[in-house]
Amino acid sequence: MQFWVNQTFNGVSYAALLFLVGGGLTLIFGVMKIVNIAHGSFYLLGGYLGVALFAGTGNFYVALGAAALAVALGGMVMERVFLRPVEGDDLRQMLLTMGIALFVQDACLLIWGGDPFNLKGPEYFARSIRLGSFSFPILRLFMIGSAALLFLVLWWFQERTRAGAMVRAAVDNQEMTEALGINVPVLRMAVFGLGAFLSASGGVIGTAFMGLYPGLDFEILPYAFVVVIVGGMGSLSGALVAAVLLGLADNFGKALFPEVSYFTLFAPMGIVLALRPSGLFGRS
Amino acid sequence: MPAAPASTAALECEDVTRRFGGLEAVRGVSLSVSAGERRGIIGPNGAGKTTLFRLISGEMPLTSGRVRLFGRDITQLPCHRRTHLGLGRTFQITNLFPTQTVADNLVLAILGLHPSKFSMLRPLWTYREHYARADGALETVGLAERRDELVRNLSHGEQRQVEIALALLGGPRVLLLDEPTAGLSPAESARLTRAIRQLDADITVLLIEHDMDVVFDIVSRITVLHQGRPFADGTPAEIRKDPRVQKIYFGEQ
Amino acid sequence: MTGFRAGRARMAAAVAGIAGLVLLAILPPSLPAYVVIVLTECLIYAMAAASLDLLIGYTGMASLGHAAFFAVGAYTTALLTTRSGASFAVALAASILLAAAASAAVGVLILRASGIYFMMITLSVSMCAWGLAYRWVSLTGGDTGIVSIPRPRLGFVAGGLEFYYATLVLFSVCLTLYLLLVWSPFGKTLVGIRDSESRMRVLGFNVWLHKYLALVIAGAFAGLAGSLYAYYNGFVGPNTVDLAHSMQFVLMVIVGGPGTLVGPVIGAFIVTLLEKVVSIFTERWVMVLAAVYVVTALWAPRGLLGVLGVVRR
Repeated sequence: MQFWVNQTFNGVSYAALLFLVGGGLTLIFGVMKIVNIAHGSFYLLGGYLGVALFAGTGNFYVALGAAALAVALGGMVMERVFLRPVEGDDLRQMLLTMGIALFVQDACLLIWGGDPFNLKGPEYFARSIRLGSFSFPILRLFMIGSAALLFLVLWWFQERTRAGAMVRAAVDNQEMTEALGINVPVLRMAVFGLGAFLSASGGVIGTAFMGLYPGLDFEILPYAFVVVIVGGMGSLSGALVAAVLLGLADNFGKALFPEVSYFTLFAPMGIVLALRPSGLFGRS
Repeated sequence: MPAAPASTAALECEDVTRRFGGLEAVRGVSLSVSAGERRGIIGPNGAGKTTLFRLISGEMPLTSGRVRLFGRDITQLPCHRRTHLGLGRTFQITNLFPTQTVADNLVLAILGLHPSKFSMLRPLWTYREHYARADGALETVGLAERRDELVRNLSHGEQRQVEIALALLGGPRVLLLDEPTAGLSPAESARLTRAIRQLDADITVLLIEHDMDVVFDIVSRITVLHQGRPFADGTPAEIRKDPRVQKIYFGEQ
Repeated sequence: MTGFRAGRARMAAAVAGIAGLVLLAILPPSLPAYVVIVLTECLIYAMAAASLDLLIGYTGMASLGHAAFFAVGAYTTALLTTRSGASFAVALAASILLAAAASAAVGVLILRASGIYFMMITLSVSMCAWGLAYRWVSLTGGDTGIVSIPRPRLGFVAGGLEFYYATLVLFSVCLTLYLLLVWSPFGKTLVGIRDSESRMRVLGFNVWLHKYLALVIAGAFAGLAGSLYAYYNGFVGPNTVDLAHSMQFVLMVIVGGPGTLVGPVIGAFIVTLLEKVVSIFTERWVMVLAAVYVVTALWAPRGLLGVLGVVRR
C-alpha cells in the first residue's frame, strides 16, 4: 500500500513538472505551429537564472518569478527578431529554434561551467508533512500546488477572458483570426513568451527538485513532446491529463521495469498515434 | 463484372451531405447523370459546387449519402481508386506541377494509371511511349510548341488547357470540370468551350461554370445549387426563364 | 532558370561531381592519414544526408527522425561484429534490413500525421530511439555503448586505406542508386507529391503508398550509412541518435541544398569539415554551429546550391 501511495504521489509531482514544460510547448505548438526545439533551453536558462538569483536575493519566490519573467522576455525577443521573419515556413523556423537552442546551451556552459547545480529553496522544502504512516515532502507539494495554480489561472484566462478567446481562436483558425482584425503578430509574441515563462518556471522548480546540469535542456525535450502529442496540440487540459498519465507511467515504469522504462513513456505516444493522431484533447 | 444495363446512370449522387462542425456545406444533394450527358452545375458563390465535386472525386469524405459510378457504390473508395474506375477532375484553381515542364506534367498524368509508376531503376525519359502519348495530347490541345516550357511560365489560358489535358489523359468516363474558363479572356474562353464541346461523346461531363454563355453553349441539362441544397433542375431554356433562379443570382448583386 | 542555362548548370554540376569522385579516388594515398579519416567520415554522412534528401527534398516530408534508422544500422553492425564476429557482408546486409524494417514499422504510425505534426512526431521517433539506446542497457550497453568495434576484414589490401576505399565504393554505388531513383518514374512521383498531393491523388496515385516506400528506402540507406559509421568510429553509443545528431542530418541537407542529392552530399562535407576545422581554433564550436543554423534558416533556406542559383525553384 505504501508503495502505491508513494509512487502515485511521486508520479503526480513529476507530472507537475511535465505540465509546466509541456503546457508551454503545447501552446506554442498550437498557436504558432512551431516545433520549438529551444523549449528545453528556456527550462535550462530558467534554472540557471533561478540559482543565480536565489544566491543573490536569498528569496526563492523572487528568484522564481524574476527568472521566469526574464526568460519570458528573452523568448518574446527571440520570436520578434528571429522567428517572425520566417513565419509560415515550418522547417526554417525549426532550424532557427535549433540554432538558438545550441547557442543557449553553449552560452550556459561558458557562463556557469559544466558542474551540476542545486537550488535549496526555503528550508521548509526539505521537510515533510505526515499523514498517518505516509509522509509527503513539502517541495513536492509545492510542485503540485504551483502547477495546479498555474493551470487554473491559465484555464480561467483561456476560457473566461477575451484575450484567452483570441488565443483559442488562433489555435483553431489563424486566417480567420487575422481576418477578424486581431493583432496576430502581437498575440504570437505573447504566447511564445508565455510558453517560455512556463518552461522557465519548470526550470527553477525542477532545479530545486532534481538539480540542474548541462544537457538537461535536450533531455527534457522528449518529455515535453510526448505531453503535447498525447494531450493534443494547443490544448492545456490535454497537457494536464497527458502530464499526469505520463508522470505516473514513467514513475511506475522506472520502479517496475527499469530497462524498458523509456518505453512506458513512449508507448502512450505510439498508442495515441495509432488510434487518435490528434491527441486526447486535440482537434483533427 | 456483369455489364451495366443501359439505364444505369453514369454518375449518381444520393442524398449527399457534408457537414463541417455546425456548417452544412452540402446537404441532401441527389442527382443522376446519364452516360454521355453534359450537365451544368451552377449557383451563386458558396452554393457548395466545388465541395460537391470534392465529395464525388473522393478528396473529401462525405458525412452521409452515397455516390455511384456506373452503378457501383464508390462512397468508401479512396480518391485514387475512383480515378482508376474512370473519374477525372480539373481544379478551379490551377493545380499543376509548376516546377516541371508541360511534357513532364502530362507524363505524370499518364503514370497515374500505369504500373510503371513504381519503376525505380530506369530513367523516366527512356519510356518513350509515355512521351509519345503526352505529345499526342499536346497536339490535340494545340500546345505542342510549349512542350518543354516550365508550367509556371505558361499563360493562364495555356495552364487551363494543360489542366484539361491532364484530366483527359486518364481516359475518364466521367469528367468533372471545375470552372475551366475561370480567368480567361473571351477569345481563350471561346477556344476552350469549343474544345470541351468536341470532347468524345461517350464521356459524361459535369461542368461548374459562372460564365452562363459557356454553360448554355455546352450542356443539355442544368442543376442549380443554392446554399448547399439542390434548388432547380431543367433544360437550359427552362433554367434561363426560371424567376427563382434569377432571384438567387440577382439577390447576390 | 529554364532551358539552355539550366542545362548548362546541370552539366557543370555533373562534371564537377565526377571530377570530385575522381579526386577522392586518386588523392588519398598522398594525403596525411588524418585527412583520409576525415574524408571517410564525410562520405558516410554524405550517404546518410542524401538518403534524407529523398524525403525532405524530393517527397517534401520533413522527417526529423532519420538518425534513428542510422542508429539501427550502427547498433546492428556493432552488436553483430562484437558479439558474433560477423563478416562485413553479413553485418552490412543485416543493418540495411533491420533499418528498413524499423522504417517500415515506424512508417505506418508516423504517416498518420502530416505537416508540422509530422515533424514533431518524427523528432520524437529519434528521441525514442535515443531513450532505448540509453536505457536498454543489456542490449545497447546504455551510456557506455558498444566499444572496440573492429575494422572489417575486406579481403583486399590498399596500403592501410582499405576501409576508405570500401567506403568510397559504397558511396559511389549509393549515389548511382539515388540518381537512378530520382530519375525513375517513381522518383518523379515523389516530386509530384511534394508539389501537389491533391493533384496526385486525383491522377490516380496512391500517395500513402509512395510516401511509405520512400520512407522505407531512405531508412534502408540510412542503415547502410550507420553500419559504416560503426566500423569507422569503433564505438556506438546513444549520442549517435541524440537530438543534436538527428538535427545535424537535417542541417546537412538544407545547407547543401534540398532536392538536389548533390547538395546534401556537399552539405555533409561542409558541416563535417567545419566542425573539424573550427575545433582547432576554438572550444566554442557549438556556437559556430548555432550560427550556421541561424544563418542558413534566415538567409539560405535553399542551401549553397540555392545561393549559387543551381537549384531550379
